[in-house]
Amino acid sequence: MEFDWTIALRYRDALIDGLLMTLQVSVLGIIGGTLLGIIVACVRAMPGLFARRLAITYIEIVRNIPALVKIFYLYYVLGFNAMLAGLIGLSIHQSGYISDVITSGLRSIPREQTESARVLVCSYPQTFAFVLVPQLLRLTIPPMTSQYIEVVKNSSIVMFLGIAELTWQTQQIEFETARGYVAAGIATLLYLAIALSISGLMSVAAWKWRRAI
Amino acid sequence: MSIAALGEATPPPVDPTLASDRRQVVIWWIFVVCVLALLIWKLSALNWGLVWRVSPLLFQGFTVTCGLTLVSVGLGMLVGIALAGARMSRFAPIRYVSMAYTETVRATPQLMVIFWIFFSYPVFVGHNMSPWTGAVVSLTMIASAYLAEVIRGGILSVPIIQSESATVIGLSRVQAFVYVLLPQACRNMLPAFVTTLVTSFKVTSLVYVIGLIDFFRAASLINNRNFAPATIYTVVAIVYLISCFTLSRLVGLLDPKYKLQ
Amino acid sequence: MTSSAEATSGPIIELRNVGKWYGPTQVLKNINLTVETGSVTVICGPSGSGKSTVLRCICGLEEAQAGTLHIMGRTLNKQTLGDANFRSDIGMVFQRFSLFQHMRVLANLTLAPRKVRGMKRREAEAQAHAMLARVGLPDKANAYPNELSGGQQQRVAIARALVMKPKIMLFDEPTSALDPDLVREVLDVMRELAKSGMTMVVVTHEMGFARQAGDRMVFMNHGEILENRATQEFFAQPATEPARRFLDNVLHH
Repeated sequence: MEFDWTIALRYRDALIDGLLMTLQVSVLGIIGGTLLGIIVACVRAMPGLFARRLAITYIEIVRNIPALVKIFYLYYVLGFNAMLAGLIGLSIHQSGYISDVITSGLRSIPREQTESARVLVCSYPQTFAFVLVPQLLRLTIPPMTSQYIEVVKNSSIVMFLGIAELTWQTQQIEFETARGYVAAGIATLLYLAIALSISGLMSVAAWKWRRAI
Repeated sequence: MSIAALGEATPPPVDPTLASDRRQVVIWWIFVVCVLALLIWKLSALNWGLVWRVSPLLFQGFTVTCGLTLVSVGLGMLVGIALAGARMSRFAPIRYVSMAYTETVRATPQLMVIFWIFFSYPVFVGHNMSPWTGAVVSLTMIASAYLAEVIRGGILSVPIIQSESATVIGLSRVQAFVYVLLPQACRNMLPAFVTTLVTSFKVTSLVYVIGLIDFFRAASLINNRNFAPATIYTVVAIVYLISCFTLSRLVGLLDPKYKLQ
Repeated sequence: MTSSAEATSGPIIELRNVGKWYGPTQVLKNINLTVETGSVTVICGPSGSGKSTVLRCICGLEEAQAGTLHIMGRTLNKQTLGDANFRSDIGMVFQRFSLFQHMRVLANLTLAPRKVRGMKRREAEAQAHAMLARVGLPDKANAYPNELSGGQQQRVAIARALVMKPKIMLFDEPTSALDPDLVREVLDVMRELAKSGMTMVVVTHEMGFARQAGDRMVFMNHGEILENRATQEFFAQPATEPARRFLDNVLHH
């Protein structure tokens, strides 16, 4: 039994590269997942049963297939390159959950808010922009925080497509030194740091809006 | 009589919103049938002979996935109860340890948790871990952290006034917990529990990385040998979709209250 | 368009044979109601009797499926509801949750004048401050709604409707969600408004307010108007059995 913490120093560059790649994949995945989630939630909120059922079916399919299967499908069957398959897979995977967050946020805004705006003769776009969206942003901060952390966590599976992010580097260090646990420990701390930064950023926003809602 | 009848508003034959809903239902089912037809046409092009030939292997992998889910959720439930209890303990250090554990595991990629176990075990014990043990230990760790939160959420969801009322009518603390708190907590945590079950089922696909031949790895191995990604991964997606969907509907079966969406 | 003489004296709201269905259930049955300019009409009745639905049809939030509604001489339809000037003549105060939670009181009051009327910020704010003074909250312009009491929130909601200079004010149970000690301040503002000659249609269970400020009492039950009489007459002796029972419940609970 030996602890060889010098491994962390020796593989410093690999870990930093991995961290940067993880950040890149996560940020793009968060953006993609949010945009897709917004679209799905909008379709779901559209009047009429057809749009609603379409959105719900999409959500059910997306939720019930593991993310790993999605990225393999995109990579091996649909022939996307590794990065694109990973990003699309992560975005689609999280969009199902994010759209749910937005839908329940929309539902928790009292009906009187939109009706007040209508009685005040605001148009639909005005109601949406001045009344619904600002409230939605505030209401969805806590659930969105966990959604975004989830994207960061899921970003580790793109290692299966050979993308050299943090988890891939960890495995690489294990292969080369058989002391992967050191790298895993450091990688864990880095993941925790990312998660903490995300929730920190989100609580800054929440703090800014603390007086309203 | 006739004047009064004239004053009556004649009801519209059908409520307009209902009529449009009914039309949309029809459009929806036409759409579904079209998509299914397209799907069947596409699926018929797949190499079903191969699927038939390798189905015993796939089935074996599937049983491994199911077994792994059951064992890890079962053990995870035991550990989770302990963690949830510790989190609500009166003794602060125990509370913090439990909190640190659950939060760390929940904020770390599941793959990384698998790596912790699989990489550190040989270093500390001296020989390699069997993939099965490694998978069970790491998946139990993951499940326990999530389940601890599910259990805690369930208990916290019961209003304090419930246990207070129980004490007021003369039940002891233990009686209040067993007869009043626990049944309500169990009921409230059911949806979250089923969600965790489905998540655990999906997470088993990650043991791919340590070489345990679960359903997903079995499929990948078959694909490596026969190179038929379209066939294999479509089947994999469909199997996961059907199993997870069925699992997620379990909640309606266990408690009819949740059948209503 | 009606002439100004007619507009100030004739009926300002006229509902003829209005019917409405939610799915298979009929919530409004053959509603006929006339509201004179400058009068205060109080609608009461048991819950689920369709009182709120009448108000919601008048302000265009819901569409009647039978009959016609005439407001200020114009028939309600898609075209008139699209006319912002016409629509802003009708103000409404809801039971609760009507203030925009993410905006300060001042922003709540200036949103519609600025975005709909295209008013300058300075002008809209001056008007908003004046209106806040009128409802007795001159110092709350910079507060957020959840920093106000329920009664204060409702008064701000009234002020927000008034900045659009409506000719008709609709109140949908404005005090039902309030603690008893906060009801009075809201009713005081409403009384003041009634005195100033505003046409008001009020759905409420506050029979004291109805007796003092109301000109006409409308009693609804199961989607029908059972009584529509002068306030004194109604309180002296309701003509129908359901109205008697209702009054008995409300007054002697």
